[in-house]
Amino acid sequence: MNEMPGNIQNAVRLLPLHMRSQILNNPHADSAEELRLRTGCFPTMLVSGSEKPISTIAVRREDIETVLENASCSSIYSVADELRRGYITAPGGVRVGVCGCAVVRDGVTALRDISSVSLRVPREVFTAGENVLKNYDFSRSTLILSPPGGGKTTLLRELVRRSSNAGHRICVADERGEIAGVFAGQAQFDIGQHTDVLSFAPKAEGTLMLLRAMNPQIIALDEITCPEDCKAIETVANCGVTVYATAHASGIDDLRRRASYRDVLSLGIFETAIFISGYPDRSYRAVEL
Amino acid sequence: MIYLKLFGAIAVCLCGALIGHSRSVYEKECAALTADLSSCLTDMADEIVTLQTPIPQLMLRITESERPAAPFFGSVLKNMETMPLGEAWRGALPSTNLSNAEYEIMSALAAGFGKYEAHSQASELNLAASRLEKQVNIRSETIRRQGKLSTALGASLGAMCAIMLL
Repeated sequence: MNEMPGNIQNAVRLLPLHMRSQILNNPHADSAEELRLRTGCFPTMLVSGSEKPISTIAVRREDIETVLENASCSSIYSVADELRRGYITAPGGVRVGVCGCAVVRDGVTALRDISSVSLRVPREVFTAGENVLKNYDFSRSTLILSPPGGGKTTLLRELVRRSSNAGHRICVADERGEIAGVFAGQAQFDIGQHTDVLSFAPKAEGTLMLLRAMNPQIIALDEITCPEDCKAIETVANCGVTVYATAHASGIDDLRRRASYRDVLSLGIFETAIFISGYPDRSYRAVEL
Repeated sequence: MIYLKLFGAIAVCLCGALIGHSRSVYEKECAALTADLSSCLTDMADEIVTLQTPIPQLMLRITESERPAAPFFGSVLKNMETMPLGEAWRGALPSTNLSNAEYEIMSALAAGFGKYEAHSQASELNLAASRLEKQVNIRSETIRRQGKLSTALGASLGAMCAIMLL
């Protein structure tokens, strides 16, 4: 695996000082997929699908607060909307999932008493999907499918990078900030030379903004989940723009069973599906739709 | 001999005036720093409300400017490499020449960093800015009253020394 160094450091930097060295000295640190902190429990790291304790000192409420302060750059107001959706994207593209008490008033308006955080370590794997992406026709609209945690975002980032470096003008609607990991206006991941990123806008709205403003040849978006996303994809595709997207699904039949995806598939917008399977050694398979 | 004594007397007189003038200039520089800190806090508050830019990014922008408060914000950012924003802010304060009252205002601000939603955070900053502005007015008044006095007093003391020497 040709991984960029510093990915785990980006996650570790968010933790309280007393936890940092314990993680960095842990032999599994380099392969950690997530770091998990739950108030009153030992902190753990997710390695190859199972949680391993990283300390025998229970997580305190202040530790969780420190993570949130670091993840929000001491500016909780700047992540209030994200926090309401249950996650913050921290510098370096680290996704910090949060759990606590939801304040509900016409939907979830805030989270208080945050009791758990999950830091997902982003991976930049330049060899992801090598067998599929080598000699790939980047002008084909592509749907990347896998179960949760299967490496969809990593493969999408690689698809974007290769396509961009091949000379395509590509725009990324990066709602969660995980594809490009933009911080202070600069992408933290290598996403290619001809890539424009719109971060944190809702995907459907962001996709249409990019279409109107940036004259893209390709638009990429992560995790299409709702009918609005599918409608935006349809609009974009009808304007002659290639679409790269990802979705949670174990296979194409799984996807067809869901009403919102069925329409997109029946319209024939996506020409290729790439399936990711196997864990932790992933395999990639491209299928014409 | 008399010329030498006269030259010495004038030199002592000038030194006295210079010391008084230096004190006045120092006070003006301190007032300029306080005024700029107040202005920076107002700018930060405005951008927090309109663009919700994180505080470190706002500070970085000030640090990259030529403003008198730039070194202070640079120190805060440097401290932030090893400590949270509140501590980093307090840790950078001793490097400034703020008066006790100004120091208190800036120090109190640290407690609320990163804990409020945008409007409350901006209100905190604006409140501190207006309190600093009052301190600037007090300083300006003091400078106006004491600036010329310090120079004249320095010159007079120098003259007295010169007379005694002669």
